[in-house]
Amino acid sequence: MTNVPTTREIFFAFFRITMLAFGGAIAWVHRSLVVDKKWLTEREFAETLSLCQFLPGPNITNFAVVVGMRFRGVRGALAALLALIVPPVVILTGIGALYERIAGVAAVRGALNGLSAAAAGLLIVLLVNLLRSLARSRPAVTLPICAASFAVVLSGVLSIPLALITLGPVSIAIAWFRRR
Amino acid sequence: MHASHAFWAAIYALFTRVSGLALISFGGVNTVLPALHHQAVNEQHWMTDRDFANLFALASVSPGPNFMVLTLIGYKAAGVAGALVATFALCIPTSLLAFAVVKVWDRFRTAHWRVAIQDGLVPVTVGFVAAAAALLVNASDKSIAAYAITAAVAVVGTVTRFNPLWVFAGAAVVGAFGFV
Repeated sequence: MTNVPTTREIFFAFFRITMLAFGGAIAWVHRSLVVDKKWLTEREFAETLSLCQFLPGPNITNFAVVVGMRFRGVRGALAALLALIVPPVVILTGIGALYERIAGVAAVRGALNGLSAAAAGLLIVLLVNLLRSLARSRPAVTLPICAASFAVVLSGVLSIPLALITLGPVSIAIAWFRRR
Repeated sequence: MHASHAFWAAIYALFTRVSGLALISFGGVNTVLPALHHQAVNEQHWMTDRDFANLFALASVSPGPNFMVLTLIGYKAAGVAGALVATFALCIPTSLLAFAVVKVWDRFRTAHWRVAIQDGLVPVTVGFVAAAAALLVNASDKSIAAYAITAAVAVVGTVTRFNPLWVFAGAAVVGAFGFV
């Protein structure tokens, strides 16, 4: 840890991140905490992110909890988490109420259809990035597992929890024996 | 009485389904998007396929992390209380877990079993993200123009350095004029 921020500084850093986070927050976390404030080094950022991706739940809330706790304990974790979640909950509740009222207007419905098509593209971008990093290490093993989980979930043969408890252990066992 | 019963049933379903899925969302919330879609559209009948795609799009273009689509799903299911319950069911159990795991994780950073679990889960969860992308394309893209917008965002986001969110503005305008 390069500098140790105060609880107040943690709160305002995550408040700023969440208000800027259009289309994904992790990029803004990197820019704010590593590039601008230098609270984390590149290596600390990468290691923390890998922990947060491994843990269940939103990567970004896990990141807020882990970073807040390492700097300032429970108070730091709470400050980061509240700053991250509360402002967008207020904004999105307003948007939700508005959606109920104006989704029937033809032009609004049209605009939303355009935005939905664009948002589906955003998920493809995420997928391509994930597949690129997957293909870097032993694609002959990882890509077939990935294809299998895609197929069983999309076809409705297995639900996500079932796919996780059947394919997960197989995939973990392969990773275990490969590295021995 | 009947409306009130439906309200509490929705709140209960939101809390149990969302917190359950959150705790198995290894790799982030996008990995359980197909299961959320299934619950919201087919099981609980809170919304149509089209609504789901629209709410995902609204969350993508609003400030805050993208997982805030849960706030909008909660609002659609049970108003303001639903929005709060869905958001907190997603964030609180997983944050508590992150909180508990940080210290153990730091101690076992290089342990063989830990590396194997992480390496094994990644390809399975990337398959879930692929299924989520396929579902959203299916829910959003009902015309040639919609496919073109999805493809435009995917290409801009993967092969150029431009922020694909700029395409969203164009997509909303094209949609508002009824072309999507």
